[in-house]
Amino acid sequence: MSLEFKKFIVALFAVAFIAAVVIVGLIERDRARPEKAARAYADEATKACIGCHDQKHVAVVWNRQWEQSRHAEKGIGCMACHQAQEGDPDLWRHEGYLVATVPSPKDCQGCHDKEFQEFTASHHAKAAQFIGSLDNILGEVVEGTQAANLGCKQCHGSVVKLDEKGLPLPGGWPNTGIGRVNPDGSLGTCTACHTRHNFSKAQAREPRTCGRCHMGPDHPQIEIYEESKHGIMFVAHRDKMRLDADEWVVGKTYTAAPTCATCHMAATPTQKSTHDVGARISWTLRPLFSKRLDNWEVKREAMTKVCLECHGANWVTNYMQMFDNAVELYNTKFAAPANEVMERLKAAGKVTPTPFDDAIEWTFYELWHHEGRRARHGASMMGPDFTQWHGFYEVAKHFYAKFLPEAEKLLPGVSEVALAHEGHQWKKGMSPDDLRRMIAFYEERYGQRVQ
Amino acid sequence: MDWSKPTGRRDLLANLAVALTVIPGVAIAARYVLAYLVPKGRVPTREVMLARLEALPVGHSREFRGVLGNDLLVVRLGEGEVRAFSMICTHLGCRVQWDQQEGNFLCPCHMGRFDTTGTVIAGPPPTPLPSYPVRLERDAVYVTVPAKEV
Amino acid sequence: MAVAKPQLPAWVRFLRERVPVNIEVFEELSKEPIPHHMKSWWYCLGGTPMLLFAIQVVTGILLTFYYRPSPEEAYASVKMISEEVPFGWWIRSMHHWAANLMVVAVGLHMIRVFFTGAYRKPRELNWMVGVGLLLTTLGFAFTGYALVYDQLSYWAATVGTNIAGQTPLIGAWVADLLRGGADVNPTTLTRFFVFHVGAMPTLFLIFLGLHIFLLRIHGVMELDAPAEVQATPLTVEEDREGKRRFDPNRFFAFFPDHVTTELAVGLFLITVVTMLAVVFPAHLGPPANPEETPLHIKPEWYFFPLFRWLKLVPLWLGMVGTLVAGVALVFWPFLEGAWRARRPRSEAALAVGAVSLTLVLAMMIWEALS
Repeated sequence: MSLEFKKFIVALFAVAFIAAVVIVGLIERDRARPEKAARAYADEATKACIGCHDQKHVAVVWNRQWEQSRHAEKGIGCMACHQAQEGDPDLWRHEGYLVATVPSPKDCQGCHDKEFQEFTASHHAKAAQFIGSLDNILGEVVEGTQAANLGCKQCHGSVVKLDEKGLPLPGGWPNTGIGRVNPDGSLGTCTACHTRHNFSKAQAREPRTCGRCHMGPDHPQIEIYEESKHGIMFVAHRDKMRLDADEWVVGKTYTAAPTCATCHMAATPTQKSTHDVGARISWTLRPLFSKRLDNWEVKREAMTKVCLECHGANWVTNYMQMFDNAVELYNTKFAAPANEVMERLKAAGKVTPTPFDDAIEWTFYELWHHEGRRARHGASMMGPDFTQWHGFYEVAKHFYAKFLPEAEKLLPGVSEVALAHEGHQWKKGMSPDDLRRMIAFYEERYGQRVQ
Repeated sequence: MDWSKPTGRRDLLANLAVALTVIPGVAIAARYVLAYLVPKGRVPTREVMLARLEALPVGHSREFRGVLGNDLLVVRLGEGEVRAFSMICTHLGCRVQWDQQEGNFLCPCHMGRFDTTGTVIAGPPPTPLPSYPVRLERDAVYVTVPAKEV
Repeated sequence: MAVAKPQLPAWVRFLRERVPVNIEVFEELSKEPIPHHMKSWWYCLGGTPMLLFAIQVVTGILLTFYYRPSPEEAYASVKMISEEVPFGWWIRSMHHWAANLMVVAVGLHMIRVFFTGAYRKPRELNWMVGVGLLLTTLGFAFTGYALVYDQLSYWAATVGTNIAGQTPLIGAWVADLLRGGADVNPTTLTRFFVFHVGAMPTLFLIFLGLHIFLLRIHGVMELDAPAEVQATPLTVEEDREGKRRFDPNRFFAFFPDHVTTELAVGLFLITVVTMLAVVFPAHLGPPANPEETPLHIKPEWYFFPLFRWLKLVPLWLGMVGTLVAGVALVFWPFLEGAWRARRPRSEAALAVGAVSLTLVLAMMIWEALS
């Protein structure tokens, strides 16, 4: 092999060499470094708290949860929320520190003012303000305070009382009820949904977070959601929901399915997010009679705009009308007549002023408070089975086969007034023709605009 | 020495090709090796919370040590005016203190002084005291520092 | 200075006044006559391990900047090199691949030397030095792999030192030397590290120096020449000008011809090593766990023949057999020389070589497949 040829070979390999080196550089440039999530930054005080708590093995999960939280990334440590001043109602002297034992929304307000204002104005903050209501009497009196402390108040919120050291007393604590009355006078707690110490947005956006309280025989929102198409889509496409995204906007960040937050709180391309959960709710489905709330047109408009992110106008308008019609049906056919009957029974002295001491009071209570609400909620959130079998079916059955017979027994003839409504004409016995005319009447009446 | 002289154009071309590829190739590889040996170029910055505003009385200063590896002197000049400076004097590295009476920063080693903008107003320090961006969000005071320590 | 020389550049004169060497020495070095058979690439296999060793030294030193030789930190430091340090993955993978290629190259070179009979008189001693280089290379590979301190590292090292410990007579002492004690202990890893970066490189360089020195003073054996010519050092005549010349029909110049060949080989090697590093980066297994032996421990591929051999026969026979084979390998030129003294035209060497090679390869493949 001649020297010339050898030099040619060398030149060839030299080119290969430089190509290889360039490839190495390209690979290095594109190399994914192991994602180093910004680690927790603990300032001096936080280091002290965590160090001692870890060492003495007291509630070490707080430490780990905090370390994984967004707060920790930003260096928002223990004392950012737990620093108490002299004179604070929840001041507790602990290992040389002044610790606030009950951080309240006022403490969160320091950085999260918008959310604080919206939340405090909302119905959530008022959840514990039902002193004197039927439910309150049911819980505290008919059952017992001990029951209410672990039952009603865990969702609605307790009144937190402290001992002389600043530590909370049993009964009112532990409690993360959403309307909790705090020692500093503020209402509610952010930790009802943003559980400490992660305070995770993703967790708060989960339907189950709402479902802790919004469930059950008297307002089965989570069950209705899970029955509905919305809930099915959520479960099927969970991995596309991007619950942990910073900005979480339906139609932009995610399109797979709506959650509770999507419709009731979260940002849409045309609306800001809000912690006022009533901002998009036009009916109150809670009481015996459903009523339109103040400014219901604005609220209805707000909710409609959310629906329109995914659905066409015809779809949305029709549904809203059908929903309104169902509520109207409940109000006029069942709630009003039943209430009329109860009024008459009370006037005739057949039912005492004391609530829940007569059997029929329970029947009536459940009629509007349980199945009546289930029917309305089912209608509001596209849960057909809850609207029908857990809802209107049971309303009808208990109305006709339980409530009215019980009322008749107490005051014969009183059920006549209840059956005055056209909807009850079928009871008189109808021919097929009559039935057809009845159904046509209903279609006309409840298939049209209500207003 | 009797070096083998190029015997023609093709040979010269081959020599040139080798030189033009091997030398840059070696140079690039050498750069990689340098990057390997001296890996960290710039230190990334991070924003973290320093304190709640109420913890910083107006007209006073507070020391914050170990903020992601930085030692800071933070002074609150007004209701909404907070400034964060490096604690390390730019002269020979002593730690600077806040002089409450004079309202400026004093380095006790050689009596260097910095005003509340970091400018040198007395003594031997050659350059101003480095400051870090501060951001107030309602109650919280955030500072952006180089993340010297993760 | 000889007469009739052109005026040298000033810087050369500057140096020559301060470094008084005879220029003819350089001429002699650069004009080393190489027999024509060396123009074949097959004969670059000697330079190849040396070039690869150079790559190992450079990448090895670079790795030492970040490697921490303590049991607690070793794995993490290797992980850091592979994942975080810029180009660390490349340096480490090159080191890994050049190591493998070096074992291959040394093996191929040995095969070439064996089958061309280049170990014969007067070159027997160089063969022995070569075996020393082989053993040092394997020692590098063994100690180097242990430094990663993943499961395979730890257990391969444990098994390896235990096997070494089974050597008759000196076994226990050798194992203690390797481990720094009767059992694997915290200093064992550091000890392996010192062997790998200190003791073995020094040993290797001494052997290498001897190997090249012996090669040069004997000259490369001319393959096609008769035995007596093969046995005598190269003849280099002087021409009228006093310049050393050689018969261009038999030889070609070391510089630039052979150097160019080696340059081509070098570039080729580094390109290949880089591309292997890119396509098959060095692997990092789970970290060493002294409490848990993985189900399948295998040593590195170059130990497969020994591994398989030891699994086939009882341990004592295995060790004795290995020892016998080792001694035979070291003293082969003398053994063969004695044999050929009786049967001068015997080609038994080829048969022995072919059979041994086949056996070794067969056992390697067998172990690889099982």
